[in-house]
Amino acid sequence: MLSSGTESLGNKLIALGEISALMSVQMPREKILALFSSKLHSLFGAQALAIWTYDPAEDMVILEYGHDLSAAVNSCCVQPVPARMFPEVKLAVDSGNAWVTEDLLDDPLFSDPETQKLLQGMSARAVMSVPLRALTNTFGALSLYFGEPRVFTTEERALALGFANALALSLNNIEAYERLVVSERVKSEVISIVAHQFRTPIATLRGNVELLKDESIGGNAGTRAQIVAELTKVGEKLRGYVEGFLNVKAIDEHRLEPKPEDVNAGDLVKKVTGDLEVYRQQHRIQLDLELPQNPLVIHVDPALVGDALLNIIGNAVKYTKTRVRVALRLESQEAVIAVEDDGLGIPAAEQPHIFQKLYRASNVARHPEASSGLGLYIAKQYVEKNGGRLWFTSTEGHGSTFFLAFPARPPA
Amino acid sequence: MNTPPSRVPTVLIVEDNEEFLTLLQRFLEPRYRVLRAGDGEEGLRLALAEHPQVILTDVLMPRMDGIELLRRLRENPETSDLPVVVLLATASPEDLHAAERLRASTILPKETISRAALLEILENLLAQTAT
Repeated sequence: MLSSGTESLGNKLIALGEISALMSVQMPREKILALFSSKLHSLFGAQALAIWTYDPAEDMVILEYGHDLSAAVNSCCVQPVPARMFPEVKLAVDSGNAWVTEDLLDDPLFSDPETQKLLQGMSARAVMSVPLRALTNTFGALSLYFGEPRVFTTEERALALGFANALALSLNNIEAYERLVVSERVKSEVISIVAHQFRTPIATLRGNVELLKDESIGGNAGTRAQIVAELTKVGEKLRGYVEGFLNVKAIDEHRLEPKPEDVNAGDLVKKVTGDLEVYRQQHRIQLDLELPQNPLVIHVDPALVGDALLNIIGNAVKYTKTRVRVALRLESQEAVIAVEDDGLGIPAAEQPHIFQKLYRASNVARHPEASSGLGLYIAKQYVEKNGGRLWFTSTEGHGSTFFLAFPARPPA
Repeated sequence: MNTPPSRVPTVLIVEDNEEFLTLLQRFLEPRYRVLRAGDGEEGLRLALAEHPQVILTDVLMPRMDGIELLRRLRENPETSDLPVVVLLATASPEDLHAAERLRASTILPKETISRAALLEILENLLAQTAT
């Protein structure tokens, strides 16, 4: 005999109203999932409940939250699993509506042995699955599993859909709120970086102008010329900082257009290390260069790739303890530039983030040559826009090696 | 008692930003003899070797920062009472408190520094040490 839900429709509607009123963007995601799940679970008299997200590109599902599921489902599905193992998720997502199976034993869609085993594991005989949709984006499904075969009334389907919509909207709002909080934090971070980077040069400009105005100092032609030279130097530095920020803007707005030409990678490396020579001397470190005897030609925009190299080698000089080694080699049809230092290294936990915009590793945050957290982001974009790859290996306390690889042109 | 090599008082400036260091030097010369150091390590070495009457130091510097320099100076009986002016480019409350705790004579935000104000501060500090 097919049974129906335990609570009256009126009670269910009241519960939906109550739960929706409780939602707040400041409520943690886990708490919202728990609140919805326990309410729905008891209102519908379900055996178990699952909240799934669906990845259409990979055709995989992930269990976001489970209530009274079997241990097997709980342990397997927090990692992506093929969507065919849980057909109820995709069926709900695709239909855009409540999707039900009144008896799973009779349904050929659930005949896959793996699926059968998982369903039996949680003693499920009937399922109702509703899509999770926020605005136009359907990102998963909410599935209610029942221990007995069961009919689902139109009202119940509509109500489950109502719950799912409220949940989806809440999750969407939380995500938007979190993004906003992060972007506010990033904004204030940018302001403090800008303030720090610009403060000393601006103080230098102001002070030098004060000296120029002072007849007893600025009146002397020699001193005057020296001060003007200082002003120019500081102005150039400031221009460099501003350019860094504008480059990021250009990347973000997709305005970056490389102008590729045939370039000898060895010449490019030599030019960049030459430009860094004064900087190297200031840091009192050794820089070794290993270049191949024959030209190694790559087809790139020399200005952009030169900037990326300047950033990578400049960082190595900045953070190394004693030496930097720059080696250019031909490896599997690629020109690979390896930049190795014996400096601070990047903490393992932070390594996945270092190419992110405005990210600064914790162990360089107090470094005197304040990093804007933009250099590596820009470098990676420049390298990739030129058909290359940029990656690194690093051990904290022992140093890092950055690699830039570009397709090599066969010798003419 | 250590005496400077001439009657002109000696000021040691510890600052890794070359242009700013040069500016401070221009502010102070010829009224003071200026010693330059690009980081805390070099600053400490010059402080102990040259016995300046006053030190001006930046905070964020390679090898040894200004706070660590100040700590080492305070720990050394020879320099424990030496006037030290700390120049701040950040609004970091930690640096500010550390400098206060370590008895910095004056803490100056870099952007507020002018020649007249700096000369006045140094004059006052030297007058205090003379008495």
